[in-house]
Amino acid sequence: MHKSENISAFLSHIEHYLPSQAALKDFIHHNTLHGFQHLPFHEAMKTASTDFGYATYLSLDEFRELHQAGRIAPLELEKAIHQTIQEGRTNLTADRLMHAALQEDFSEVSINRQDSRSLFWKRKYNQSINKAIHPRLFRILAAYLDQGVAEWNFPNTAASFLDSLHELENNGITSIFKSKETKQQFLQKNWDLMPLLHQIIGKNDHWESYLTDLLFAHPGWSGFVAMMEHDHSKSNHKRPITLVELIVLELYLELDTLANRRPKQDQLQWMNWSYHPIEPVDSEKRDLAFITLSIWQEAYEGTYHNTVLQSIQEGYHGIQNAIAPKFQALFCIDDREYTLRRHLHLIEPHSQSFGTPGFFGLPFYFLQHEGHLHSKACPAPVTPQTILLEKKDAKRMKKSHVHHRSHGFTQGWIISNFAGIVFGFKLLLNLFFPKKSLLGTESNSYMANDTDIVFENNGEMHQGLRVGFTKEEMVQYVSGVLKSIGLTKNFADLVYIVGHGASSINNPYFAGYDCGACSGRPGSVNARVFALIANKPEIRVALGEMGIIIPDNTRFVGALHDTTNDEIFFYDEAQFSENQKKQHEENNRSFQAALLANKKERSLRFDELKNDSDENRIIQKMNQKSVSLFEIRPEWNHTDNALVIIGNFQLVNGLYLDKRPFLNSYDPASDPNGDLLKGIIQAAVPVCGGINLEYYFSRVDSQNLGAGSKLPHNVVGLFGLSNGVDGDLRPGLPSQMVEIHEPVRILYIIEQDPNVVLKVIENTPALHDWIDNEWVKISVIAPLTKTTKMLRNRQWMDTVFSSERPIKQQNISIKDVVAKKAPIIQTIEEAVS
Amino acid sequence: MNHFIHLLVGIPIFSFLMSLFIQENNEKAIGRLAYFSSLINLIITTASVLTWLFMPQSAYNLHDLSIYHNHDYDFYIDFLVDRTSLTFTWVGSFITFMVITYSRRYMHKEFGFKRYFNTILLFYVGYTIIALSGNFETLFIGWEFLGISSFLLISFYRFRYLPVRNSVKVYSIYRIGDIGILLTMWMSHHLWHRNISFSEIQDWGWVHDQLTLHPSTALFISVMIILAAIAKSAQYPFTGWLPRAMEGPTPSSAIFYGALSIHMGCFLLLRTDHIWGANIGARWVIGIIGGVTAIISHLITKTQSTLKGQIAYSSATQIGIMFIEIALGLESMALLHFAGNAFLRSYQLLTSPSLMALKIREQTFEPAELEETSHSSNGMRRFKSTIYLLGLKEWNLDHLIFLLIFRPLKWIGKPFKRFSLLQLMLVSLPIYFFGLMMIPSGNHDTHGMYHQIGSLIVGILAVVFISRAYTEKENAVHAWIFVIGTHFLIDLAVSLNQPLNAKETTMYLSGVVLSGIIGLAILLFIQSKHQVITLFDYQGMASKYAKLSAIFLITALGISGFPISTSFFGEDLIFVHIHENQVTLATITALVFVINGITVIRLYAKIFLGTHQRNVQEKSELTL
Repeated sequence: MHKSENISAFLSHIEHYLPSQAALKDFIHHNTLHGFQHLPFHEAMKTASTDFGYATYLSLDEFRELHQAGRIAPLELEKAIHQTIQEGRTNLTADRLMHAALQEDFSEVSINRQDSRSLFWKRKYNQSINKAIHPRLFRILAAYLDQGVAEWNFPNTAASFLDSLHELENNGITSIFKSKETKQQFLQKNWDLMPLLHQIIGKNDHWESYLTDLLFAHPGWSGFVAMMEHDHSKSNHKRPITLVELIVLELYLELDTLANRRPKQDQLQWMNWSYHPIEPVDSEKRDLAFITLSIWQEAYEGTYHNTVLQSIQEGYHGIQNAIAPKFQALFCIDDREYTLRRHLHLIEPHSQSFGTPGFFGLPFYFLQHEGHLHSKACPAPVTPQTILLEKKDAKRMKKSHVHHRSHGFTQGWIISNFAGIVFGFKLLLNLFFPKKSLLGTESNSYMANDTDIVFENNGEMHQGLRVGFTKEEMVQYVSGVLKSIGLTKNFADLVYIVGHGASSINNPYFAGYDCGACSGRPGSVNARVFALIANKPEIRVALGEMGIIIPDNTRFVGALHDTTNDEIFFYDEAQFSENQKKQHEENNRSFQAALLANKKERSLRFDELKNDSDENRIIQKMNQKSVSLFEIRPEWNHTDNALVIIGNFQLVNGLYLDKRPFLNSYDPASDPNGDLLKGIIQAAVPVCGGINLEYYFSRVDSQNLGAGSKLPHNVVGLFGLSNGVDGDLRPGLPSQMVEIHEPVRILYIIEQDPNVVLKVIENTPALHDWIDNEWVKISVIAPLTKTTKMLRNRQWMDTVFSSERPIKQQNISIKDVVAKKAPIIQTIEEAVS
Repeated sequence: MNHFIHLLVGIPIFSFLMSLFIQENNEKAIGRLAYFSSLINLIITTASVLTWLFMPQSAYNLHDLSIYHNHDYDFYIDFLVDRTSLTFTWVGSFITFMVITYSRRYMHKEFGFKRYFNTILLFYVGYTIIALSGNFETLFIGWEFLGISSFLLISFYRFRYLPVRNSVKVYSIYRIGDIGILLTMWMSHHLWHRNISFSEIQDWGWVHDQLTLHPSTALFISVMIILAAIAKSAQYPFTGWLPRAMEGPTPSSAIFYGALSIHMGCFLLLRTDHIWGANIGARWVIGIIGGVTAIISHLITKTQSTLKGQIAYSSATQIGIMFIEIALGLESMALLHFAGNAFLRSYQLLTSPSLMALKIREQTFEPAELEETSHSSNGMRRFKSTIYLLGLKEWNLDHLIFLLIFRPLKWIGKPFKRFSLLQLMLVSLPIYFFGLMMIPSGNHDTHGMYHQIGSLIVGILAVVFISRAYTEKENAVHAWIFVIGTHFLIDLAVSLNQPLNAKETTMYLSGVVLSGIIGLAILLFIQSKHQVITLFDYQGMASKYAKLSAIFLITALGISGFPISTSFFGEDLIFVHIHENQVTLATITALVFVINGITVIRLYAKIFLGTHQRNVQEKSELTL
């Protein structure tokens, strides 16, 4: 890590390395190691492992197992070795590397972080410093940041963290500090960081390293505070806290520990010990280990990616002109929507589907009826100016629940004395007959079914935001989406706009299961409002002027797909004409059949259902997943994501890609200059790349980069989770979300001329780190030459495939693919049979 | 009736033993076994509760098999079925059944699935034995099972630091409670001149006569019972361990610290109310402790910003109130309160992950409460701030535990820290052999002053040994040898006081020697593979030596007098030979047993648990 001149430079530098996960209610995926993104991927993996003790790849044993099982092709391993040598990343011979990959034992290369600060305290002061101060520190932080667990609030949370604490210390007779001197010093507001630091480690050149160790002794809390500092607007209760304040308090707690210390005889030898960082170990063996790991990773990814590319290339017939479809449907680019679309196309080959980010181009905040707090319903980086209001709601469950009111003295006594047994039976009921209850989240209750939504601007303001969109905005947003996916002609009578959301219970990660493009909320409002706008005659007129001519008998229909239950809800059905109603009934049958097939396919990923042959039981068990308290895996979310396909659905139609691709529709013919493509990849690279890398890192290092097991988690202040009562916050994804994920980087397959794509990338500097450093991989399938190419160092490389044609491999079933026992891909017809 | 009791206790024991032999990855078989055994128990208890309700009967006592018997000493198993035991058994089997049903799916794929169910079943064995126990000896067996299963579940994530450290902490406090029971057994043996059953205590008049004849003995017994009860039920000053115990998977926290284990102190008090109930002072003490706990825990609950912490403290509050109810003699109310609190807290814990979504949704609809604008007077503000700060600091409860338990332990060990194993051996071996020769022959009580003094000297030497074992950090093998040595010294100390016969000594020492040798062999084996095993930091050896770690745990339990080795009965026997007026020797022996248990478990934890070394070669479990 480079040296910085002063504290603020240090802080802004170190922040990038801290986990940046906001409160769990707004779940946004991001690259866990974004601080290293300026480095080439493999270099970053080694540095992160050396500096911070992270595991950044699967273990060698796992790679070798995959190789044995045929999941890493021998050819790809050779290619990866060859490429590593060619790039000059090693001087070793191919044979030597092959030996390292297949046979050598690397168990001496350990993965752990050296905590020089702890060692310093242990040596010099004979103190386990973290043990001594962490519980107090975490408790104070949690109490201040609390969003609604504790019944008593921190006094004066409007003031900054230290000011608020100061007030408490000033008023209270007792103190959080054990020594009077520390308290006095704190009360005098000596909050400058450097002088405090000097009291502990003296004037020391290594202070940055010391503070790094301090912050990384509790990365969860440090990261959360840093996030709050930048974006506390998201929390319901504002808490103006800064990272510096956290450090100052922690240094005070350290001072407090020192003040109470009685020097011991046997400590004298360490009297003059001063803080200095322990240099991370680096050795030839370690270098070789990381070269070997990177080779395996490339080979692992290559095996999958090349099989997909080869299959796509072989089935590719260039750009096809669509015939008038029976109906059209727009879905989110989400991998879970891909599986549904695949089934829909099988069941109704004359349907046409599109993928676009699930907020459908509409940036707004949504305010529920009788609600006081609005929620964002568009991607996290977007800051909307608009608020949409729900006019009334039918019977949304929002009333409180008696059981968490029982912490009081008398209330608790009465409840536990006379009503306690009721809870026993409640639990018993849920165990055997799970039903929807207040405890769960339900995708369909975000927006009430029969409500009206105020989406047109009428000059009103609400909560400082403009109510509704202007006509210009509506035209702009709708045309933007339609153009980007290439749906500007050949409209069917019914065009479905399908948002998605999830339902679950006992799941603090609930927001992570909803639509990421809607900031972790169901996409119901967006889908419905898009349809309402697109149905407005004056908007159609304006669209027509832009060349998008929508026939009068075409109707847009908003809908919501619940990905946990595989249910679909359609909105505003009452406004259908007779003919539309009839058509819709027929289409709905296709939707229902596809949803059922999707549900059955998803059941293959659950151990308790994968060998079940009783269809009714499978369906029943799948339906219970969102309402059973003991269900720890309601659905698999983005598990196994590995591809982003930007192009026409025809590219993958007929292939079985399991649930691995994100699908963004794009019509290369209508975008010769790549303007639309730029819009798409600007969003798709950070969003899908972020999801992919978060899954990757949570999978390869569940303990440090993931949240570990969900089972011991404890809800902290409604914003985070910790292990037990005294533990650090646990950012990242829990093991139950990622355990079957295959950690490969994501491959973008773009249907467009390679030169156009390259030009777009060159003109989009925000993506250069991502692409040039290969945190994501880019490939194209060229409509003209019908061949695929991979991007490497801004150059297009021809793809090299194994001679075996993947789609003509053995007879395998979907089950084998899902269980990762079989080759990855095949024609869908074979899979179904 | 006898069959009914044997079934209730036998089924959990059987399924626990069976569960040990099922393969690690056979989740289905493990889950089924646990499910059906708890279901059968639930059905049996429900049926008997119904029978009891409609045809109320008097208490039923079953004097079961005698495990060890000589002329004036009878260690027998005894069961008692009455309203209290039925309530506890029924609530226990109901909640255990639900938690097992819950866990079968919840624990799927968790690293340690089998270990989890083994431990839950072991807990259930202990719980059922306690609930149905008819005398202190039987209760103590269950009590010990509960303690160790608690340790194992808190440290379920055994390669992480916090769970392991907290499990040792909780186990240490439990150990204090154990000693309460051990000394109660000792004193009541002398009071009644035999091992008494709970049903005999029900005879008010007789008990009362005995107690009034020996007021100081009665007082001592009451204090010891209260000590055991407050340690187990997390009452003041031990409350701080309760939230720290919430480290295992949520359902295990629910069953232990939400629902069942935590109420065992109440059970003990209800079971023995005829002993302490006569003493109005004891009633006051129980009531006051309950009251203090209730108030402090309540104030802490208000400031807790984590859900599990909040539930823990509000549960402690209610148990405090239960203590008051018990002190007031409101037995029925306490029973009802126990059942309600157990169900409520397990429900709250099991649904706690839901609260994130639930409360955030509520906040959307409830106008945020306006931040309090402080118009309150200066004094009021000071008062509020102080109470809030105290709550935030959890009233220093955690520190209090440190002051009460760990600092004294350190303090005892300190003066002897400088003596090496060799030095101490050189001093103690001659004393030991001399002492052996000094043991008076025959079984008569007319031993002289010299023996008493000798007995004390050897006893003190035992304390030196055990505290040396506790403070030893440089070498685990030395610590282990100190532990073994302690037992020999205690045996001698008591023999000097009043000779144990060969059978008794064999009974006590055979368990020690067997566990000692096996444990030593394991340590030496591991040492031969690495370097000297130190005890400065947790070493997580169980990841390399999983089997050895399990065997070592068993030997550790054996050597600390857990009811799997003969030493367990030996410990009890030893106390019989200490007279009721020899409080010093009794204290020394008790102290040695307490520290011994803590030392051995800590030794196990430090060597085998608490950390995980990773490398690029080996796969690391996701849910470690």
